[in-house]
Amino acid sequence: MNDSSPATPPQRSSAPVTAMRLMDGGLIDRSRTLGFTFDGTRYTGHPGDTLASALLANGVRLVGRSFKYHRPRGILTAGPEEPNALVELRTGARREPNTRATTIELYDGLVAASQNRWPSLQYDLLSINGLAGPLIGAGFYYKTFMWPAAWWEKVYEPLIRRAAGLGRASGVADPDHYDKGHLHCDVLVIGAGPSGLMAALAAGRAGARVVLCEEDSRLGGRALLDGRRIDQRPAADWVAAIEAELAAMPDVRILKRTSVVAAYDHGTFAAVERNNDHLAEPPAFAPRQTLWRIVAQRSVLAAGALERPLVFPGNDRPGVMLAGAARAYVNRFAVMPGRRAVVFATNDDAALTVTTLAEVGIDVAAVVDARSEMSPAMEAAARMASALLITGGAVTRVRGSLGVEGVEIRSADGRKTRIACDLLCMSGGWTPNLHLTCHQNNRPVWDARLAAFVPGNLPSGMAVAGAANGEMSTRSAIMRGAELGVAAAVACGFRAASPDLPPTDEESTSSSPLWRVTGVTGKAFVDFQNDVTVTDIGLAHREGFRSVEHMKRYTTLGMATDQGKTSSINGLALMAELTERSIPDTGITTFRPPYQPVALGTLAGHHRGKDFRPTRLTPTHAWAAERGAVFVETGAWLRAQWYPESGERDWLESVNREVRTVRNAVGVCDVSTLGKIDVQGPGAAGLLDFLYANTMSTLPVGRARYGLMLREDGFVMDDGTVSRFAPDHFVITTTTANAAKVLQHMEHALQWLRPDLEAAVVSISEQWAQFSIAGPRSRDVLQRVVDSPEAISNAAFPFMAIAETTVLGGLPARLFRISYSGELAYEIAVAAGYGEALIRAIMEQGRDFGIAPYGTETLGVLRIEKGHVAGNELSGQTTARDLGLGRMLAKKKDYIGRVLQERPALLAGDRPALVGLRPVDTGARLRAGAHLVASGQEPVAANDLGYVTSVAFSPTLGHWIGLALLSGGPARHGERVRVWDPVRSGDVLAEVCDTVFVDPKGERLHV
Amino acid sequence: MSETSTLWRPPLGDALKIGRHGRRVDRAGVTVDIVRPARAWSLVARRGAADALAIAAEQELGLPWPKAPRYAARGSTFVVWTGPDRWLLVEGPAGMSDSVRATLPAGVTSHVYATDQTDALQILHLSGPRLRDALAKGVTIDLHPRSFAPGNAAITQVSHLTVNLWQISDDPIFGVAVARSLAGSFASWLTASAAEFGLEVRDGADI
Amino acid sequence: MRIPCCYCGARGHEEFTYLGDATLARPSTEIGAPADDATAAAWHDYVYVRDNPSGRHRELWQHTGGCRAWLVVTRDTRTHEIHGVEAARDVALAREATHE
Repeated sequence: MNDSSPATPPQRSSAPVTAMRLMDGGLIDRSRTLGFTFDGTRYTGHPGDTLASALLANGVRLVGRSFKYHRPRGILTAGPEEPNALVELRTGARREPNTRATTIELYDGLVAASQNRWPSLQYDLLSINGLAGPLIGAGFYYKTFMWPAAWWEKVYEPLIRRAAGLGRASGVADPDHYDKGHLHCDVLVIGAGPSGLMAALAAGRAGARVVLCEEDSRLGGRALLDGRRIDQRPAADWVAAIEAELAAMPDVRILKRTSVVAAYDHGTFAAVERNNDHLAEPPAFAPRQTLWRIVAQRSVLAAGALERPLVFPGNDRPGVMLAGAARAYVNRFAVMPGRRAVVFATNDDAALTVTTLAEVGIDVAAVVDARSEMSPAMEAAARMASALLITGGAVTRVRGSLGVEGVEIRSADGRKTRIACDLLCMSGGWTPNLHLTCHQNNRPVWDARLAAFVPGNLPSGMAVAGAANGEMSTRSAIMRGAELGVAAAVACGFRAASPDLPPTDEESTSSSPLWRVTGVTGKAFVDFQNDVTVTDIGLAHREGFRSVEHMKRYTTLGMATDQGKTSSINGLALMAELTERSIPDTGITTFRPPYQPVALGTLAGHHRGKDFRPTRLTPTHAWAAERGAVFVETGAWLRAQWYPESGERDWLESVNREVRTVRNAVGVCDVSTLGKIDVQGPGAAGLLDFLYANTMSTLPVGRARYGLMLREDGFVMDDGTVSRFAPDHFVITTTTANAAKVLQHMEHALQWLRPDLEAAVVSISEQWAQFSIAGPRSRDVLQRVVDSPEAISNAAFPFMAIAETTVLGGLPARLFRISYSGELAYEIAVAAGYGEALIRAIMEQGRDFGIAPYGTETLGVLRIEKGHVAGNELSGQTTARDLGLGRMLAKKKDYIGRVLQERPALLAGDRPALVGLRPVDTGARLRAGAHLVASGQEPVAANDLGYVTSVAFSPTLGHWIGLALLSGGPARHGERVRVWDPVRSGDVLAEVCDTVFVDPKGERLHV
Repeated sequence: MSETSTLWRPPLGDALKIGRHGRRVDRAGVTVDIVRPARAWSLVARRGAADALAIAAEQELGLPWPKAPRYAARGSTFVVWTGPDRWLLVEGPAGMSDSVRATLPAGVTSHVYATDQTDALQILHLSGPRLRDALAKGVTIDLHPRSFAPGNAAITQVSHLTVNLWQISDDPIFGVAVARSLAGSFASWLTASAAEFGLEVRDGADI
Repeated sequence: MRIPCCYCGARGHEEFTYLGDATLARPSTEIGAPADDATAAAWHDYVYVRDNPSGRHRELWQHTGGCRAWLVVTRDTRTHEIHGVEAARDVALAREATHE
């Protein structure tokens, strides 16, 4: 083998470099040495190694302890289906638990640690769980830790979490960056083994846009692992030639280290690319991983097959390995997985393992073929390896605890033989990797010849090639891949021709299942990761958990990171045997996304921290931040909540000052977050009449009106103002929270309910910065800002007047004399880019009048003092009448909600209706959310009369006030109620009063 | 109004600083030009007036009027389809006119309901050899040259934001319009997404 | 799921907002007329009663993350297969025309 060209096939040599490393061969780069640490011990490996292969090369077989029994475990597989060799990778903030040693690419300085062991991997005190096995079988959590209940949180849960568990999370923020990405293609090929490569080649040559995803760092799939020849050359060379051709095609995208984890509707797939997990840490600015969304017209699933373990006592000992994995370590990684091997199999595929091991000088002591009939392929392999062939035999016991030391074999005639070995290769046959075919609820079908489930109905646009479809030989995989690649390209409108099919080696794929070895004692594992044994499945059966879905939940078989990739078929076959049903009648559990574990950081991508979701900033945000405003999130907006001044000790002090400033002088508040919608056209007035419960078509030009929108069920949806700038031109406002909903509602009305109306509805929320200027001195300030002060005198511009005007020497503005605070007040709007300039000018001009900016807290206090409703009252459960707004309901026009708001139940006198509350003891604090019961009544549900919707400390009155929805409503004015707040231990007596606490006659509005 | 135009603040504020960001490379993979339009309007065709509007716009503005999700430009004026019978008409870039309140050509006005959106949007021109790779991190639609060519436009979502996107030229140069209040969040996404390719931000007044 | 908007082309479902059954017609009730049982029943059904069909369903969606058009989407509720997408306004205008 030529080291400089790792794509050439292994030449055989038995001389080890490190303990178990072969001198030649493998797809590793011996010219470079990488240092790494496992459980504190330093080792070396080479580029091309996985952590698993490097550990094996160093003679490390014991890698972890099992989940429940803390059994010593080694390396079972050579791929992502690994259930045993789970480690904590990296340290500090990047420490990641439960990573599979078989998929971790080795890098220099790698640090890994075994998990779920204490105090050490070799001497795990909790392995006595294994001795207590009969007590902690399936369902033991449900049975054992029941009593006393109080012990659960303090005793049982910590105990269980310590004893049974996987690795530890880092506990600190993830320092890496994750990306999302979107790809579109004609043909998505999933898996780059022989069939996937042929599919991609056929479609790519036809000119289709192809995405080829391969979860490994190299293309080739099993071709790299099996050591066979394709196209009369080593398979790896054939793979390299195809890869080179694909890479040269501009519309073919090859994604390595990329697992397609989900197949969604209409050709949408999710894939995780591990961009930089093969490095100690990602390069600056580069993502650690990318979550791709791939949209494909056609897809070819070529995900291969997974080998099944055999079920016999001790099948979990370190040194017991899947037969395909054993030859993968030899062929790809130039590692001897052992020195003296026994091969136990049910199929001819394992014959290749026998010859591969023998070729590199591993002593194959015995080949145990579980099938009763002599297999020519196995016989030939055993002869080549000079191994004892035991046909119709079984391994009945494994000796050795921390690693295999020997096996006991039972021949067909029942005779037992003991053979010393350090490697036991097993193969129970191969299971097509068909998960993605089932993500849209399709079920696989049982293929008795293969003794495996194969894809059934497929998602639209998907086809399955190669071993994933049960085509187990390389030749059939190549043929089918090419065929489906052509078909996919043709379906996308390309002319395509099949590439020439390369010749391949002869293979026998004959196989016959053995679901468990019978007549044996000892723990025989079905699910390694979850420590589920044959006995556990028997227990589940006895206790009635016989459906595969129940069995899964009761025994935990098929759960956790591997989701039953090596265990589920064996498990359901055993349940089928116990229930005397066929395997297809027993069924299979549902495959759900994701196919592989996906880090939460990958799902979040860019959207974490301040980028968790988009944030909307107001036109005065920079100015408010400069003034030290405290901000609050209201929906997507960040708004100034209050503006602290020096010397103020808490929020209440600041808010009280802001309220008093508005009531006594003047304040300014950015209300740009209100939804603002332009409504134009001959149908505009008609549309607004249809949308609002009150009439808008009678509104004169130059005036504004308060409006109430109902839902069709008669409850209030939103409120706001409607201003008429021209006969066919209105501007409406919505609450901040409902801006998007109201726009949708209007578009629905216009496009669906009333297409007869001609109107244009356009959001102008972003275009206008809008400020409320409120307080007795507001006109004085405004007259210094507008270009025509005389035009806004009380006579010229009365309450509810609106106008287009100019400010600051020619800047167009819209002026509204409307008030939320109950004071003389205006709202003024300018183009958003001038918002900051305007608020600075207002503050400057207002200084002489004692102006202060105010935030959302003060806005809330002012409106509660005036009894104005807001989001707390517009809860979707209140009607106009409940809110004291029944007089607004128009009688002579149709509008949304008109009919159902008159339902008898909504007119009932005992409905909760809006009232004011003032505490009898004016020192007492009211709390929003508190419930109301009649004075002297017990605070129980039967006596509940309603609840407090909004509260505020009123600096104007000097005590807390509240708004409440109270059964009977205003009819109870003057009564006393208990305001009962069990959450915060509040029990306050309050008097029911009018909702308007300040200026009940509304005189201040008109001055 | 030249005395007030100095009071104007761009939507982005300090969210996207002029200069280089992300990985240091000779030529930035992604270049952003910050565009300030002189004026922008939402146009909605009056009922039955879409055809007449198209004729008038071609005559008065010299713009081939888009009836599908497309973009057309003439000089510094461009139009983007934003929905059935709806468009965004932009005159710019800034500096060409000091009039804040401008009026549309009369021939066009009679066929549409026009709403001033000059300050509602941040418009950016995006270019660079790695632009499509960076955009693919947030843009869900297919921007491959076979699917999206110069003259194509789309309203779509980028990183949970709704944007208008249009392709100006093959280089490629894309235009994007994002709501003013969300410009900072968009800039944060763009900066993060382009960082690995190297990002250059320029004042678009130069283009 | 991908929905082929009749204006914008196929987009991911996250760009759309679902409303529901597009076969319901808003009852027309004379203004000021006393509410009788038939009226009450018609409005009750319109606002509260929904079929849950297995198979093809005509439903209202809005392309809120795109062109903002309301759409009538014919979707198979079992498979999500989409059999057709029409502009809701066109459907509504055709409905008005038949009623006149």
